[in-house]
Amino acid sequence: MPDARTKATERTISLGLALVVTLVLGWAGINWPNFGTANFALLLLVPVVIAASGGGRMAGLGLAVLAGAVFNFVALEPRLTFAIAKSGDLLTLGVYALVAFVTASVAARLAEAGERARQDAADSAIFSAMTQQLLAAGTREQVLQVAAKALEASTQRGVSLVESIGDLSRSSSQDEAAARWALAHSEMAGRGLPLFSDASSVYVAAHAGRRPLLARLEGSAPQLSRLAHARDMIDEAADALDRLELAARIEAETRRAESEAMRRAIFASIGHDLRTPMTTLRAGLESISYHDPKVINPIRADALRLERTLDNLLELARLQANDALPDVSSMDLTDTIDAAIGALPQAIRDRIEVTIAEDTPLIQSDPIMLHHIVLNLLENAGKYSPETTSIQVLAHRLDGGARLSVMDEGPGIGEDVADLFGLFKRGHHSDCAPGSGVGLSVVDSFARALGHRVSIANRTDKPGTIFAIDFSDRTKLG
Amino acid sequence: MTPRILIVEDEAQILRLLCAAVERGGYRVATATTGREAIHLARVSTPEAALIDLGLPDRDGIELVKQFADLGIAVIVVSARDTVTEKIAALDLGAADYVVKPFDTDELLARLRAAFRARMPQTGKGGIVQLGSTTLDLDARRVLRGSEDLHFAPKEYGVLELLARHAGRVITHAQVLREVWGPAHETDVEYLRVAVRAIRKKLEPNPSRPTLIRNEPGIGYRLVVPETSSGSDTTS
Repeated sequence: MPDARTKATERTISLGLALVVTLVLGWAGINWPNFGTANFALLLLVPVVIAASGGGRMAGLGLAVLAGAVFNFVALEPRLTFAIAKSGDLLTLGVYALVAFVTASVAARLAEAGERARQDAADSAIFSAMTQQLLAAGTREQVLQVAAKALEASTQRGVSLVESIGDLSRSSSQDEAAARWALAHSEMAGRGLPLFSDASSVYVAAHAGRRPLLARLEGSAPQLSRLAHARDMIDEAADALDRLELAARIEAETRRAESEAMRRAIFASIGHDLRTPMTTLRAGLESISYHDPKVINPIRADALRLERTLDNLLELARLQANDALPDVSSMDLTDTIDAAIGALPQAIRDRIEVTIAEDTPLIQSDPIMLHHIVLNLLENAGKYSPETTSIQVLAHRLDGGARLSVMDEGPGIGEDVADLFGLFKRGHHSDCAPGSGVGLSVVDSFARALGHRVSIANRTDKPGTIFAIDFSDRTKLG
Repeated sequence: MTPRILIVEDEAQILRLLCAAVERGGYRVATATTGREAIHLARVSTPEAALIDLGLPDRDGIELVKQFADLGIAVIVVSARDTVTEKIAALDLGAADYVVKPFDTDELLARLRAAFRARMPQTGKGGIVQLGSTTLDLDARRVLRGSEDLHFAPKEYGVLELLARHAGRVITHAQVLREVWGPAHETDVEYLRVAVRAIRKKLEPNPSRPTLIRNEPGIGYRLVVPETSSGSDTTS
């Protein structure tokens, strides 16, 4: 597209050429009077067309008036005056003037249409070049750069394309107001437009895109059609920015899914590799019937304990690897307690007494994680209290939520309460009972993940420990 | 005739132990170590029940579950995979039960007996389920304790009936909610919890220690029919 200066030069040249042709024709008409009125009139239309197509409608009309005057001066009797002798010639001049005007208008309009077509072609060339470059752009900066350059080429103005007002170089308060308004309304405002016409530049915000995008076109607003085109380009840039963001997100998501799948596969195979030999071991021990039960029973108990420890370690690892995110739903503590007891060795099972108050509300928790919490608390109580004592399990309403307590008749707890939950940490009485302390770590970690509060205290009625889990009455957990 | 159990397991040692346990339970045994072999045996020898390991060399055992269930075989999945999703998937495909490795052989045999009993209402006894001192008459839609008629709200009865029709089998939460409350309430576990609590209050001798309606954490409920009330397992 030719810039403004070459366009002005073009205009001057065609106007000058039209004037020269008119004068030459006038001179020729004076010197060769027998040239013929009609021929002369037709020839005089040539400069009119030249002026109109090169210099626009006004130039064409001016030339039409001049051509009429020259025609009158040279061709109509009395010649070489502007007077008209015959009334018929008046009509001729009138018709001639009309033809000249119409010619000028048509030529000018054609020229304009041609100009528009050229501009459209140039615009779409810029647009498609920009689109291609946008597709190739890999960063937001590149997108902004490509789009700004294309906008400059298309609007013939200095352009800044920014994602926030702070990125614009300093400007007057009116300019800033215009920019803000444009951004807030995804519209355009500024010099030459109805809103903020006293600003120094034009501000056009993108319509498309999920993030704001603002262009500043220096100087006054171009024609509305040009402005609409600029806007299309800005929207295209906004879309390109969205595409970039989306692509980045998809890539991150894919990577996350891949690592998650790998983690799951690892846990599944660890689980499988641990469980398969345990199955053989356990079933093998069960089938040994000819041996003295005094020998075989402790081995069986140890195998079971090994199994539970492996289970606990696996659960902990899953939680720490974020593989087991809580899946919270409505639960009845009766179910939880029943299932946990069902998973215990018969020896502990027989020592448990359950009391569930009738008004115990339903709670919100993850069934599997809570199962592991309660199972470990019961195992812990079984481990750290004499085999002849009972283990009490209570559930009741508390402060709108519910509380589940496990009470044993063991030695109680000492000063080491704070450490009791630490991984592999055990109380001072650890020498007299087996277990690695992993169980209470599971209790602590899972309760934290679920937002349940676990507390430990010594019993007041007799020696022994109380573990309590409090479930708040929130209907949904964070 | 002694029921025949098909054991599908690729690890030789575990296969041997499963065989020993199942034979000890008084059943006849057929074994397969691949999915192909299992499908062939299921068609040819029509076992009454199958123990299926999920990690088979030629295919995932989960593919067998529906095929076998459609053939009328009571399927018990015996797998090292212990996630809720795996269990629910198998149960929804028609597995009668799901036992996680390492398992207790007595427990496994008990599940096997329960799976057989689950097939009984369709095969003979009609609509009477005996739950201890309580009689559930599915045809008359009545629950009787002695001569006393126990009243159940419609949804409560719906849950009880569904569990009773599949006694011994784990019915997933979603299955119960879909059947009794409709598909729109498939995730409203709270409805089910409330209903089960109400049923237990009426049926269980001690609602704090349920013996009839048992919960599988995160999976669903199972109605446990006391073993003495349904006769010997080996004479069906």
